[in-house]
Amino acid sequence: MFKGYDLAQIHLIFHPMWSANVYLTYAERFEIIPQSTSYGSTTRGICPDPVTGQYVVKRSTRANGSRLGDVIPLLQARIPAPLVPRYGVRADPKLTSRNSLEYSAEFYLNRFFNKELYYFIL
Amino acid sequence: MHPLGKCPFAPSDNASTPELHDDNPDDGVSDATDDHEDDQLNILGWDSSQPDLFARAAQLSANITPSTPLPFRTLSTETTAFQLNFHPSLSNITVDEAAVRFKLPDLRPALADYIQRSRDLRSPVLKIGQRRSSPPDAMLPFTHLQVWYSVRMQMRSNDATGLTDPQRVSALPVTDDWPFGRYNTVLLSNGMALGPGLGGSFLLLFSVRF
Repeated sequence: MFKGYDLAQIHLIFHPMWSANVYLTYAERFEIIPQSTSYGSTTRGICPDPVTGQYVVKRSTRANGSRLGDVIPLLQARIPAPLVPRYGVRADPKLTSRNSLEYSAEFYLNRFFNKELYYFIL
Repeated sequence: MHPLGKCPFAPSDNASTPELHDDNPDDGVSDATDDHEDDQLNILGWDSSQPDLFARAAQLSANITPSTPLPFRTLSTETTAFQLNFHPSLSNITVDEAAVRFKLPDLRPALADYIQRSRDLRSPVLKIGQRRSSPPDAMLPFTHLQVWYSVRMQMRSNDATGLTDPQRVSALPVTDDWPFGRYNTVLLSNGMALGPGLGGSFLLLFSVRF
């Protein structure tokens, strides 16, 4: 689990037309897939993939299989954190930059996206 | 309608901002660039200019007038500043319409759970994945939402300017260009003590600035 943070996809940014002056999001969570603790090791832990140095993540789901989403205040957002599809042995040819978040099952959390994210995840 | 005039909260370097780029969507001026800011982005989605959204948020809350839109369109936490367009992308959509448009079948019960939890908690820092306790037809104290298709986020940085370039985070429903919508990913605080990022025990570079 991410310590102190949830990796989440923002699906709605809104303000309920009501007395509360607040921006909210509907956000769906991802979770880390445990990886080998070192290259060649069979021990797995909450650590980055030893080859790429990237965390591998997948969508979290509820017991009924639906995606795990909730309404969360926008001000809880800390930093953008782009994902990169993890192709596996062979990339699915139907993947494009505009559908890969829907068609892929596993992703790398791309810490190399920028310096701030790199230091943040480290 | 919005007597704030042009750029009352703009930093002094705003004059160098290209005219087309609506760098100041909360300036009270509804200009044509509000919804075309993507035109000014390069391939990585970064804005070409670097406003100080933290300063703007502070100025905005210190200079509130009757015409200032609420919630403030520029606002910040200690670490992250946010800016939304003056005009919502959808200014008046019902909860159920939004649930269909954004393909979020449990939006209504999720909202009801949010309201319940934020009342119960002393510090309303919420996390994703609590048990869904409200029914699908839960009653809400409101019927309509204002929706934005994106927000700009700026972070404190440890480089010379102290700020990152603002970065756009989208939550765009299905369009011809985006057959699955465009929904970006972020790290959200989940209410645990703020500390290192994803499981390390190092000291955050950001945190030493405060």
